[in-house]
Amino acid sequence: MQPFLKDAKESEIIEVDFDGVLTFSPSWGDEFLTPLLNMYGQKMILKNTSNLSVQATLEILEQTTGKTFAQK
Amino acid sequence: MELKEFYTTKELAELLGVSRIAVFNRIKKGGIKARKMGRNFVIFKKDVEDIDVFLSNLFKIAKNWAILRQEFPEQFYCQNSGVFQARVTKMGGVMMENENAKVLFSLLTSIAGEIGNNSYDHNLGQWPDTPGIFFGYDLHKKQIVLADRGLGILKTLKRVKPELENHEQALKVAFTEIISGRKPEARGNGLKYVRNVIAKNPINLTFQTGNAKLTLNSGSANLNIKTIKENIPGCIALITY
Repeated sequence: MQPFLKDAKESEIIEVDFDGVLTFSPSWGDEFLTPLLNMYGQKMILKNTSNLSVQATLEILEQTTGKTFAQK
Repeated sequence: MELKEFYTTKELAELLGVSRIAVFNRIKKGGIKARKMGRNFVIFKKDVEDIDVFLSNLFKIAKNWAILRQEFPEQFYCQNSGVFQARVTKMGGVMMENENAKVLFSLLTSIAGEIGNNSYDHNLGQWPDTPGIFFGYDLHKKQIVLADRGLGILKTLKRVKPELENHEQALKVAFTEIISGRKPEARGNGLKYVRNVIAKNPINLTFQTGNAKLTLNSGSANLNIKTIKENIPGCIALITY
């Protein structure tokens, strides 16, 4: 994912849309989202996070990283 | 795994944790499809794959494999993580359509996935004998069972926390501290995630490794860990909901 985003401009928002996701878990979430959170911080917006496993995963990743995800 | 294509009635009875008479009775009633071989009945594995799930005690089958290396139906064996991923995804799909599981399916799938993935991640290239895991679920009994014959949590965590002295301590650390047995790789939050999910949802977990047994009950983050008589070389988990 990161190579695709390297050309993103400073002013651009990175949106991660969980629409259609059936299940999510921290082992994959940590590899996928944590680097993006570290890189883009509050410029990364998570959308459609109502799935229970998405919510639970975001919660543990926030505990682990000590950072919070911006959510729409 | 032995590749014999059928069970004798005695083998099937042992496998299912029922008496041989119970197996005969089910054969008579047509509940189990059997064929005559000489003077005896045999049951072809392809004919009992679905029946196993309803008749059997998954946890007992998994435990007998984890401790005694007893054979179990191949449908529960996931030799590698690719097979496991495919089956856990399939379980999620089936649960979505199930009245008892459709609300919790995403959480059940993700915690089963975390526990199963741990087995592969921590034993990669180090399986003591049989690689892979047991993975079975029973929508009627509302349970998911996972087991491995890996190194167990104590040996895995001792790599990064050599001061650990016993399985109870290792189990507590695994479920409470953000620690990775694969350090310097990050990770290490899978079992904490499982605990968090159970604390907030109607899901229960029994998890055994070595001679330690942990119980996590729905709605509580309290860890109930005790020493038990039996010794599980790897790990075994029972999720109920």
